[in-house]
Amino acid sequence: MTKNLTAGILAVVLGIAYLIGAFMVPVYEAGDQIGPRAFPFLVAAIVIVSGGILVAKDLRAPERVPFTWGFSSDPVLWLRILAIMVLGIAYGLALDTLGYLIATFLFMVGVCSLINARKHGQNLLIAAIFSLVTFVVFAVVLNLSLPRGLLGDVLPF
Amino acid sequence: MDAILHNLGLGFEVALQPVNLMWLVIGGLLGTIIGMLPGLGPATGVAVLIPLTYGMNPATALITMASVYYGAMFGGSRASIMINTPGDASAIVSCFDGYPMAKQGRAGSALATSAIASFVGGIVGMVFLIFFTAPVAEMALKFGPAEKFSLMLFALTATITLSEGSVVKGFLAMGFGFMLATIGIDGQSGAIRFTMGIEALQDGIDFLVIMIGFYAIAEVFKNFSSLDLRYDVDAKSIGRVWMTGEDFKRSWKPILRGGPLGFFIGVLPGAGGTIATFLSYAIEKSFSRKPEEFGKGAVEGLAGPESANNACSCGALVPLLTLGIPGSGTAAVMLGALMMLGVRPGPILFEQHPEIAWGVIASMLAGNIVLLLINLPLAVPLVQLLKTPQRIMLPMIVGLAYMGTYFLNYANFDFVLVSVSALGGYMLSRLSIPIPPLVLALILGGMTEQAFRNSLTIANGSPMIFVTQPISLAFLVLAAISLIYALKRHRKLTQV
Repeated sequence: MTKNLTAGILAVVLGIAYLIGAFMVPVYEAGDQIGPRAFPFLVAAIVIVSGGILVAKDLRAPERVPFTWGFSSDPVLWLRILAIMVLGIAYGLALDTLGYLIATFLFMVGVCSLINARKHGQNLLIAAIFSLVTFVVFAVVLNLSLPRGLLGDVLPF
Repeated sequence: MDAILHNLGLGFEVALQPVNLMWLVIGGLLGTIIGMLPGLGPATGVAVLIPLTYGMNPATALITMASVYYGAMFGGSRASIMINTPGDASAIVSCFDGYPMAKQGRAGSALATSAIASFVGGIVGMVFLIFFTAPVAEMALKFGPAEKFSLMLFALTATITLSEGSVVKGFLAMGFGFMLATIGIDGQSGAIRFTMGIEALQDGIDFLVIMIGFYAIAEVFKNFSSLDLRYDVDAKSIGRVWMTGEDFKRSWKPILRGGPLGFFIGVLPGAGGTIATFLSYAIEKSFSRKPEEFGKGAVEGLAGPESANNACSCGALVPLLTLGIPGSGTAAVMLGALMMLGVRPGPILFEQHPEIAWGVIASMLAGNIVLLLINLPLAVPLVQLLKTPQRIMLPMIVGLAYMGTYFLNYANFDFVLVSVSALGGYMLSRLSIPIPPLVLALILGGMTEQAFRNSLTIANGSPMIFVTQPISLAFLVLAAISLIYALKRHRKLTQV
């Protein structure tokens, strides 16, 4: 697999899925005469044709440089990315219950440990400073509403 | 002329309010710092600092974001000069001669040249901006749906053909952007499209969430492969941060040439600082009596592009303010943030909110002075920040990005969207699929479709309306020219 072939196949697959989705869009009597499907059809055509051109050009190319995502050769990179995504989603779910300060502190401890492994003291310090400083800047100085959660009654401001 | 002076007066009244001046300084300083961090550019800077602008009035918000934007432009070249690592693509050229100058012990002179050239470029850009915006906005007011559709088509084609990488991949990116833009309830018929049964998607995708994913978190992912890079900055070797007489004599002409060049390139949709700086570099090299010195520490090769780069960021504001079409990735993020605050940039902005449009234009004068003051005396302490290890900087960018996502809509689902788009942005960059056409299509998708459908409805379904209206036809011809040019250039490159 080369880079262009990967991109081309991905585009054709996504384009076809999108086209099927476009056929499933309901068309109502009311509304404009062009309807909600015409533009998506055009978009699907652009994506599928571009993907097709990439595939065709790549198969005819004299020199083909292989491309890999590196899932097996560099698993740490992908695990790190995946872990940050999961942490981010968990952070979003925990914010309202735990409150901004606690959730952000825990999230930052997690992110720092992923990127700056084994320096626990440093990471705890960064996480604490980050959550405190951003809380003061956004909630106190800029007066934006932030969830207080568990610390609701304890916070002085 | 009277109207311009009147508007400018109004602009200065807004720009010089203490609160706006304060944010100008804060934005400029933060922009400089983020722009300076290796691998992070102005789009990342504006994306992670968006939350700062919530609760501000729109004029202050735009002034703050603009100052972050050109602050990052100033800052980007610091990293190029000191550690040969550009903050973003538009700072690559500054490495060519800036880094050799630093290695020859002329770092102070290089830092000063870059700051002064950026300052002059910014001022030239601002003057052009003053005279250009009003007529363009006035013309744009007359556009009907057919003209709007063709204009957006031209903006998208230009973005595809002018951004780096293959034209086909550019179209692919545009298609992906449109796909994302069509998710949610269709405004004109009420039909629900492509939500895959997820209720949170019915209102459509907030493109700022996607942009934070692309420009902030995905950028961090890209830096994961260079986590252990340490940069040595020897502050003592910088010397006095000022231009020598000889440097000044050699630089003033390149600086003055770079300004207008950068501005006009910035006006073109999609043609950002990268093209402006490379073109200015090529021009200075051809003008020089000693072209062999370029790449070995020729001050002209630093001065011209730096001026062009900053003027370019002013030029990018022309389509943003007058047409509501962002001219660069950073401008796209600014557009999104403004829409959050209920302001829709475009020709009507100048009629309904002249204080916002002219306030930001006037603030650029103050902003460039502030940045010169930040960047000359504080050059030495600022470059020390380059020593901050990646392993400490990157978690903070991630933290700011997720926090900013929360402020957008206070919605938990946005955390899923931002995470997925960060992964998507990273994978696209691994496949060398350009991001700017995707982002532009995502932002303009709704408007493009609406203009497309309205035009066809007016013309009873006949697409001829796009070629029978003269202005619309002109935009289509421009789009075709840019496409043909790009394909020819591509063919030439593959033949060599």
